[in-house]
Amino acid sequence: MLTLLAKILGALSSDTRPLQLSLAFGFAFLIGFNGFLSLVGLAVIALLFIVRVNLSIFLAMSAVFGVLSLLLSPLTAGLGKSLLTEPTWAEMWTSLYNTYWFRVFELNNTLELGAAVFSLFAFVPVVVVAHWLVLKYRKVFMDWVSRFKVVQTLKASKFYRIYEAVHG
Amino acid sequence: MTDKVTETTNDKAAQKQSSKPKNQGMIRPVGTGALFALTGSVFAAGYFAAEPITKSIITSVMENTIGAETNIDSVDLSLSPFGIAVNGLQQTDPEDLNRNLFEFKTASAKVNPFELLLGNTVIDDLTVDGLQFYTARSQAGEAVEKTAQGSIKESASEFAGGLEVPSAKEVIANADLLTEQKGRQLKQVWQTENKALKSKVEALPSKSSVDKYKAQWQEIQDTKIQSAEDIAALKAKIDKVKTDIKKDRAAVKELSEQYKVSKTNVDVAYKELKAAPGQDWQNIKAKYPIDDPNAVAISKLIFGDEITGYLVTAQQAYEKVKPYIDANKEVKAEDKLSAESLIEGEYIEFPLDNPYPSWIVQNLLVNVSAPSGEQFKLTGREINIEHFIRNKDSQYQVALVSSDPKKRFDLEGRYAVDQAKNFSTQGNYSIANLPVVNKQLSDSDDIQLTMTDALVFGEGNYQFDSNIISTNDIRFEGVKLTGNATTELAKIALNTLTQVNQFGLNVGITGQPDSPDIKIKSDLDNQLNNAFKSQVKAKWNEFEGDAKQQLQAKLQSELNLNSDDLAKFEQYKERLGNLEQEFEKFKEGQLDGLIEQKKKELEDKLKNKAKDKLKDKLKDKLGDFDFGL
Repeated sequence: MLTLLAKILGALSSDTRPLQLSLAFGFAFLIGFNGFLSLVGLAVIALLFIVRVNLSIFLAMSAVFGVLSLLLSPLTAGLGKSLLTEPTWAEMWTSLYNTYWFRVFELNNTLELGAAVFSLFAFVPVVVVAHWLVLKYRKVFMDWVSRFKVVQTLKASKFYRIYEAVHG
Repeated sequence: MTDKVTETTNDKAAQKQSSKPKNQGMIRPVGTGALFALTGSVFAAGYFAAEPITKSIITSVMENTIGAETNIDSVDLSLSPFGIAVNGLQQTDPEDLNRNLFEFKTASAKVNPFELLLGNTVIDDLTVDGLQFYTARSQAGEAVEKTAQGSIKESASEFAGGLEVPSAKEVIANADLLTEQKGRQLKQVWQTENKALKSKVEALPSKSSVDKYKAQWQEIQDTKIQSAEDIAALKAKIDKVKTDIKKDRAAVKELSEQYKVSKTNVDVAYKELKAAPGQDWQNIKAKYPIDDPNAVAISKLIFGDEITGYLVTAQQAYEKVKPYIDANKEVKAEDKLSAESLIEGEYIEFPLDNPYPSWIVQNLLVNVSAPSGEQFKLTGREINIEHFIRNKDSQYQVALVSSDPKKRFDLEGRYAVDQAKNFSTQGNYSIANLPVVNKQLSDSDDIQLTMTDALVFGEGNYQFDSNIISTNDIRFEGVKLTGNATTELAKIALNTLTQVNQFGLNVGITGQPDSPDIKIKSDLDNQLNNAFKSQVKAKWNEFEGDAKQQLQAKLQSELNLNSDDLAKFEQYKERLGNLEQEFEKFKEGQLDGLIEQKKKELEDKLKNKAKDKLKDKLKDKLGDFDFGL
């Protein structure tokens, strides 16, 4: 937990662009809900190689969003079921079901589809909110947070020094 | 102290900001390159490692399944089209490590990679070249693990036994004879009737009772009647005797009636026993070709084992495949179970335009080299074991590959496995000018026959759906047969067979696959029977004499077994006759007549007495007149 906090604080306090941080939040959100071995997950892995995002934030937040997805799984599964059983879309789902990629990624599963649709729709709002929070943090809270004794202790710890050395 | 720390931190941040470029782009050129490099490396590593890994997997699976060493020269994998080619495979025969169960030059399969990702092995084209069975190995293979013995074992041949006419003793010993049945029936009838007669006999009057009646009868007869009182006393005595006799006479009557019923029943059983040997003989005649020695089924003897052998082979093949069909059923059930047990989401199924079973070979081509040197081409379509998924039967064809257009073997068939895993197949074939070389036909006790040369023509069809139905008309031309014979008839048969140039064979198979009813007819039978008709006839005549004698002996034996009982029956008859005779004199009329007789005697006596008295009186009265009386 402390490691996670340290990583997040370190990244927020670094000179990393806010968009890189907010995209890391967004990608973590997608991975948390879809996992690595999914259509969305594989796309995110490819994007991580191509787009410069903060990996510390991404890894840390993937775990957080993973837990969140478990908590919200009844809702996402319900969303998936309502989509897959919608009579007016039956033809579309049938034609998609007849494609290999749809079945390989098990998008006929209510939870898989619900999580994918929910996470993709929520991706942009998550990135926007994360971007606003990063800016707000840096402008308003960074100095204030740094004054907290616990943060100072954390930053003075051996772990943080190692992290800084590695992270640069 | 706190301020100092804060300052230090801010200084570090400031230093960091000044030492790093501020406007790093959003795209990672190095990362992008790394992505392509990594993807390429993974595919390349997979591609190069896949071949030895695949070779190792195939070798291991086949060795463990068949139980003997498997040798593969190489395995080639291709990405486009996605497929595999196995080169130079030799599978050692676990029964004989010096030969191969089968070998082929190349087997190549084009696999649908996307269906593979879905867990289905869909082979678009499977081609096997140079498939051969039972070839010699240059080096003996190694046994890996003993395979489990199949549950189906070739049963002892029902066609063994040779050409000899069976002995009467043997036939009668094995037959369920009516003579024996009727003998047992007579005994049973006798036991029932004896019981009934015995109960009636026990109710009969004893000898002392009869003696008592005799004494009483004598006493009544000797009674002197003096007066009417004596008559009344005698009547009372006679009435008492009549009551006693009536009771015993009823017992005799009951015995008499029972005897009549028992006699009828015993007579029927006895007559049936006497008639049984005749019926037994008729049954034996119907079972054995006694009246028509031409019906000796030589063809059944010669070809029966061969045809049974084909059926056993087919059944063994099916029994080997069946576990895989059943296992597939179990796997599907497990899949369903695991799918149902998923709490994370539900799988919604939609209709597929082109559904696939767990495995399928859409197009199969196998080039087979038969041990005779003939080349056969086996083709198949839709080969799988879950036909209910695509609603299409599997089709297969076998054709002879020959430069000679007259030489032909064509087999066409189809098979299906339904949802309940029931296997069914049907097909037909036609053959023309197919050579047969050194084919052993019979290896029975008294004749061993080999077809050294012949050309086969024919056609047939088969159908299996829990029961087999197959008809086959085969003709052999240019036949050369050789062999050995031990018995007299077998030698005659062999001598005739070696002169046979052509013959036809009609084989009908029906019934359950594990106990089929095989009917074989052939004009060969006529040819053979004509050759040794007289010998066979003489043998059958001898058999007839022996059999009849044996049946007569059986009858006598049964009659001997029942003779004591029948003698006892005669004793009952004698006793009944004696009693009836004894009671004849005690008839009611006789007793009543005795009273009348005694009455008449008394009356006569009284009359005489009165007459004498009157005479005396008259004498006294008329004495004075002196009439000279």
